[in-house]
Amino acid sequence: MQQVFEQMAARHRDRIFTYAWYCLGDRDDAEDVTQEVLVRLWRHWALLEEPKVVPWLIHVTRNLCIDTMRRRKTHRGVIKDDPEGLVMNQVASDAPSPGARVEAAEMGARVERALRQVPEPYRSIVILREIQDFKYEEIAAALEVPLNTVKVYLHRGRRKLRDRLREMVSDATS
Amino acid sequence: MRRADTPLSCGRVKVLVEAYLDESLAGPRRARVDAHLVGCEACRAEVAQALQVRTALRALPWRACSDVVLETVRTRLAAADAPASGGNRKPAAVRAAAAQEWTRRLQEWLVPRSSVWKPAVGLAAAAVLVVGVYAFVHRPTEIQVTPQDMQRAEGQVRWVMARIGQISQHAGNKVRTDVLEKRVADPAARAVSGVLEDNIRQ
Repeated sequence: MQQVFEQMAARHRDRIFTYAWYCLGDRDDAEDVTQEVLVRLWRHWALLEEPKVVPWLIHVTRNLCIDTMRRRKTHRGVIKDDPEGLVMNQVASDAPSPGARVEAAEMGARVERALRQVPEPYRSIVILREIQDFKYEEIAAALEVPLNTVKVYLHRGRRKLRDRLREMVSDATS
Repeated sequence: MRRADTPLSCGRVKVLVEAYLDESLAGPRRARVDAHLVGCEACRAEVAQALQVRTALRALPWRACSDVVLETVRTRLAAADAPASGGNRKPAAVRAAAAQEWTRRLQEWLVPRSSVWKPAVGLAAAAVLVVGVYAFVHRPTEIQVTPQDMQRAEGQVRWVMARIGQISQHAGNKVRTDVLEKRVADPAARAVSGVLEDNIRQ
């Protein structure tokens, strides 16, 4: 049983960590959340059917991220700038020139910072859909919201993200 | 001018940008956005920016979780599942699995799946009640049964039947409460009343 759990944990840990990372923007917090989710998975996994594992993981991860954000009392604010953002962003770009790659990486870092300022639940839906490539139905199941709500919130989330980026640009220029 | 021919405002196009890029806009609406974009540089820039943000978002990488996390999880689980002093506590997952098995058995016992068994269980419960009440009123000691006792007994039978229905519904089964009431609760209540009436006559 332990072996099966280990396989499951190994299979899903990056998914959990990535989601927590983009929600919280802090490696230590994202690791804490991942660790807690995996411990809870161990306690519950005998009760979970295989197809329900991923929605369950996302549901629990999101709740723990929200708890963490509440504890910090920075629910909507930038938590911590990612000092390694530019280095860690391995943007999958076809851009041939180093200049274009740097530009893409800068854009990625800006988007990441802006994403953290998008309020919940829009942020989660944008992360799950755009970064983690979940289907609408899977997001609806994980967040326990109707399918249509996911679609509407995704549009709003993307728009809010663009608004934040615009604000960041205008703050930088003013 | 038909609504479909009305030019869209910039504000409206901004609202529709995401749906436009998703290609989820229906043909005529999409054509109106296209028509607006031809003559509006600001909205073209809006669409281009939305596309750029979307591309950047999709290029954000998955993050690799450190092995330390798994190690810590192992340590925590080992500590949590370590036997308490003198005890031999089973691992949490084993306890959870056992609890699940018991819940499943209880559900099966309380709520048989077959439509034939549902009324059968109800009738069996009613029969047990009737026999119980009968045994109670025919016990060797002399008792006085009043009409209030009869009413109370009927009420109790109906309550038990209603609870069976609720438990079954709670377990996720569809329960025809009207059928349960008419075919199970009413006859059982009448049977109890009959027994008590006989007792009064005697």
